[in-house]
Amino acid sequence: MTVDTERLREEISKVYSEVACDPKKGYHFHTGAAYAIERLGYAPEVLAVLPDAVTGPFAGVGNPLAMGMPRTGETVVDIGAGSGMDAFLAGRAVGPRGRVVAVDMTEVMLERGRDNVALTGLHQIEFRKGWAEVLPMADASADLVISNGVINLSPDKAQVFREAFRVLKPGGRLQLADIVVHKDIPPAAREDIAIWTA
Amino acid sequence: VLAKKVSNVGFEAIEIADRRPVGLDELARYPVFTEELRQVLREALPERRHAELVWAVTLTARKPENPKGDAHDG
Repeated sequence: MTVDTERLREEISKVYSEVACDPKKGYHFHTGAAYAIERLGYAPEVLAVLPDAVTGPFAGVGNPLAMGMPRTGETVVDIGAGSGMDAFLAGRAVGPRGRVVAVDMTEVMLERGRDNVALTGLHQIEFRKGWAEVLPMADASADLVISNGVINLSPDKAQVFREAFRVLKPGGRLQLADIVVHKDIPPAAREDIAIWTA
Repeated sequence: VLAKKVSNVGFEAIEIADRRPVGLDELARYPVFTEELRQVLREALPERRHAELVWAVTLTARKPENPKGDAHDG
């Protein structure tokens, strides 16, 4: 099966732009702070410090920061940051001497993210347009790469991992949450799904 | 499979820290899981499986302190 990358990107942008613009619309999938707390184990007190504009559009599949928060002064890259809930949590952890680069391909998400930077005053967070397969970062420039429910959307997952490897400093960490296909789904469906899941 | 792909590009100390089942309805977030495809899966799989069609996993890995050249193909 040939993957139409442009069409896939358009479809993904469309879905997540809707989430950014109207997070309470009522999607088939879960979004927002309550979902993050009840289903994914985010600490309520941690999310309580972030405005609804940051947590409302959240649509991750796990908590990549549960395995360890970034340290003060570190540089973090968030692949497919969306409106940036994980990026903002990382931004608070690294502090003003650190840096978080929140990468997303969706214009609406980038606009929302930049609005949220202004809203929170966490200017160590920078939203950059980019793709998971071509990260807008120099080699060996990051201490931590995080991603949440995004890599499965890439038609070239190996390239995403190569990019994460490239931008990390030696000893740098990768922390990601994503979906993997169950091994006993029907072969015909599995063939389609396996293209999209890790 | 995910851990293998991460390992193939040179990461080490790979650990799956958490996993939880993801059901058919939640998969609607992904454009490839169209209503048609979800309907096929709904009909092809016993109902008990609808709530855990894929797994959401959390993975950690580390780039070696002395990586051997560029990342290679996965």
